Amino acid sequence: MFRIVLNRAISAAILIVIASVFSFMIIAAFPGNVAGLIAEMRGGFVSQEVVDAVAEEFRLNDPLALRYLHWLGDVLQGNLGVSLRTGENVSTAMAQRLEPTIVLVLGGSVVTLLMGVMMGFAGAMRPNGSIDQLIRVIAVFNVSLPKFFLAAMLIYIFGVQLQILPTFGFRGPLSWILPCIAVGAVPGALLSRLIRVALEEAMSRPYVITAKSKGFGRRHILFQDALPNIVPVFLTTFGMNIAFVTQSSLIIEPIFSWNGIGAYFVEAARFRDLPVLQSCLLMFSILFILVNLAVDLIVMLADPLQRRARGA
Amino acid sequence: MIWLRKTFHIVGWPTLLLVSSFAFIAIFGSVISPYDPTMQNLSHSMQSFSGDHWLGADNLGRDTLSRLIAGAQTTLLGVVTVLLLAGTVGMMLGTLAGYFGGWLDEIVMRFCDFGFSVPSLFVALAFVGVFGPSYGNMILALSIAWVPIYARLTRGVVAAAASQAYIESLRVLGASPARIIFRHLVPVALGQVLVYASADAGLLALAIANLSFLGLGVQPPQAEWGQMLVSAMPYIQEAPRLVILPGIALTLLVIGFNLLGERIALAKNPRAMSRRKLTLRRAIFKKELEA
Repeated sequence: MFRIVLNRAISAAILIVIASVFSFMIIAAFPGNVAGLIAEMRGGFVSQEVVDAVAEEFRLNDPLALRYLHWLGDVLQGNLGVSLRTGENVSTAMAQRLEPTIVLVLGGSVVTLLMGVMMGFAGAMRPNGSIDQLIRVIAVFNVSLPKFFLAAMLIYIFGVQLQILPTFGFRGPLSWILPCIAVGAVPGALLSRLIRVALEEAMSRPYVITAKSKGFGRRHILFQDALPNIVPVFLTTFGMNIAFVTQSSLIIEPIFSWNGIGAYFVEAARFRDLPVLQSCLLMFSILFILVNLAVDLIVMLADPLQRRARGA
Repeated sequence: MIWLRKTFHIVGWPTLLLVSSFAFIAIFGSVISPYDPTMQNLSHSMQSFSGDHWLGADNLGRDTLSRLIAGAQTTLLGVVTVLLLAGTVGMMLGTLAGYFGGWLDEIVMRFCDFGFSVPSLFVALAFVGVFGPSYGNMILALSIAWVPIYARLTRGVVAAAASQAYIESLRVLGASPARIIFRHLVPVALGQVLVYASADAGLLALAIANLSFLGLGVQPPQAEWGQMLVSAMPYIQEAPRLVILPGIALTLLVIGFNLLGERIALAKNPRAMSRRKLTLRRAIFKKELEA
């Protein structure tokens, strides 16, 4: 068991190293004259001397490997560089913008979970009943629904027509509702389908026949026997949903004018703010790799079959 | 006409109708569109549904129907280009990695691992940021972000085929690697790649719309649904149709692509797979490939 955990941790560490190389290479792969661009973004008159000074400052003339090690050293010390556009320190800027993103990811996960579990079980109670059919249609529709369109419709219905919920800014729990729904609804629909399918599969197993022959009702069997058996599938998909939800923050944060890290990333892409771009990519990559690792380990702990199959 | 009936049978008429009507609109867009999609006519600004403008006009008096048609062209062209680029490069990398193995395999697969652990939209966003926002750069960035999926898929198929007896025999008979790869391995992989690509098209259409919505893809005045939607947001109170119409168009296209992909995958997998099982399969596809 310990060896598997160690193996997974090592491969996650390798992935993080690759992520750092990848994030670093983004500047190295930049087409054209990086020093000239940086000098231009800083404003003022751009002469050859200025460009040279910038190249010197950002160590653009050093060999690639040396630059990478230098950058890595800085990152390990928590120094992500300075934004080209605003001149603020990227680490502090990111720390300031952490709160909305955390609220969005957690809130979105709660919506996903509520929707997925409720719709999944409601459908499984009466397979192919009218509720099940309805939920299936909603799920298929939701999976194809663009997130920004959903967000725009939520703004229109609750903000413009009914005027009961704030649609602008990160101001207290009431303003969290719409963004969290916009983020959680699509993965929630997906999760409900998966729970529904996994439950149906679990319900065709022999232990269910045994339970039925003992005279237990469908509800009892669903919750007592089928539910524990879908936990691994559920955890895997829920882990993936965290990735979905975080990805949505890129789109949902700008719509609702939240100053989160997703919006920061988009802003950096819009203004070619290379240090910010690089730091955001690195941080998000590390987050995803760690979430994947955690989900894998938790699933292994939760699923005795998998533990045995991997030879622990 | 047998192939037509076969397609009809596999895909089913509602899906076929949906997808082919989008394809028709995109191909013959410039002929059927009533106005020039970029032509401004301020006297018709914010006009609602009317005989002149069937679906109304936007704040600059541009015809919404024409812009929706132009948006279909932009989106479908983008989807096809990205699938071709990412599919070709991914298949090349995957075939080389799967056939030759060794350090090449190791390097390609490590980068694929990274591509799999980070959602493609993040990678695409970073590349758009580096290249600068434009339609062409967005296509390029999406293609780069989508390569790992196809490389990994091809590599799996090729590695499995390469260890089979008929490939061994070819090698013994003295067939060159190029001949084995192009005559025997690529065709096997191509089938799988096409099936996956048909399921992927919907996701790509969404990605294109997402990036354009963020102002990082298609730039005005070129019409694209995501970009139309975002520029209509300030007028959502007085003219919600400007937001709703492009959203509905995009949703319909994605539904069409998703259904198409599902049906094709169903038909290609003879081992009876129910529609629901397939949904499950597709959702944990990434996990499966990793295993």
